[in-house]
Amino acid sequence: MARLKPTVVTIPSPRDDHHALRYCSATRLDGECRPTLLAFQLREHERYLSAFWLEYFEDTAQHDRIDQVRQAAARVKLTLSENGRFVELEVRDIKEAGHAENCELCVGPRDDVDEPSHVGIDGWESEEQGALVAERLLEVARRKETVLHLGAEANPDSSR
Amino acid sequence: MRRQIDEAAESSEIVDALRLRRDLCDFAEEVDQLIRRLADEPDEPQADTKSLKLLARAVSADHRLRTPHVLALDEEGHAHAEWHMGRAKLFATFRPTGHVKVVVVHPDTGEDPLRVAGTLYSTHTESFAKWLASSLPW
Repeated sequence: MARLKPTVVTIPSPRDDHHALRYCSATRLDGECRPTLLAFQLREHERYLSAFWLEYFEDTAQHDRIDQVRQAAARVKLTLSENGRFVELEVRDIKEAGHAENCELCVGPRDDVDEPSHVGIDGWESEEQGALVAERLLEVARRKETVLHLGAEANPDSSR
Repeated sequence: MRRQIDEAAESSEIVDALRLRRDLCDFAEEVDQLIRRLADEPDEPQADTKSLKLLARAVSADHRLRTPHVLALDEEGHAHAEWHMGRAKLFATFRPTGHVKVVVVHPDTGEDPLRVAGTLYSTHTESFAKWLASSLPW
């Protein structure tokens, strides 16, 4: 009887030099459309920080990638508002923020979301540790000023 | 003014109450701008009045908290503020229950920088605000 060979499925994951885009609704931005600490804290129903993997669309021209991310957001039923913004963080910076707070952060795909460009960020052991990681991520986002406009055509037809 | 804040039924009435005190007029304008900015966001929560009252009482309790660097709302409309003093920062999100999510970072304390996070509770907002304010090196 022929023996079945195990199938190894490699799930693609972002490298350290890749980028995660975290959506920030207008309420989580300050008056100058920069992210606040709230942008990097878990929303009520989040088990991890949801983000999109920019380089997943590496075959797309650079200037069209944000449009691809917007479409991915629509597929996961994330409503983007005209005044919301994406904050771009390098995976390396995310992991360093974790190390600085004594935790190993994981940036990768999650089973509960059927969208290959979606990634989750987590790895802290308590809400308090997560809050300090959020402060580190905010510091990086402010220092690098990587806030991306959504443009006037945010996906109005999607629902949360 | 404290009575007017407590009796406010809407966010705009809290702004009106803050305007009664000259030293809180700038803060009142910041709150007013936040409310107006988010009024046009149909999918986003509006400010939770009870939470906003707690922030207003905290700011009015201590002169060091008069001018937050950042005002925002969390996904439930709870008021969030951020104060800076040099590189030190205080973040606070006021829940209507009286619980306050706090983060304090003070990187300039030598080899052992202060980094604290937690949720605190107090029934006496003004005393709590003074204690919170003292966490920054003014």
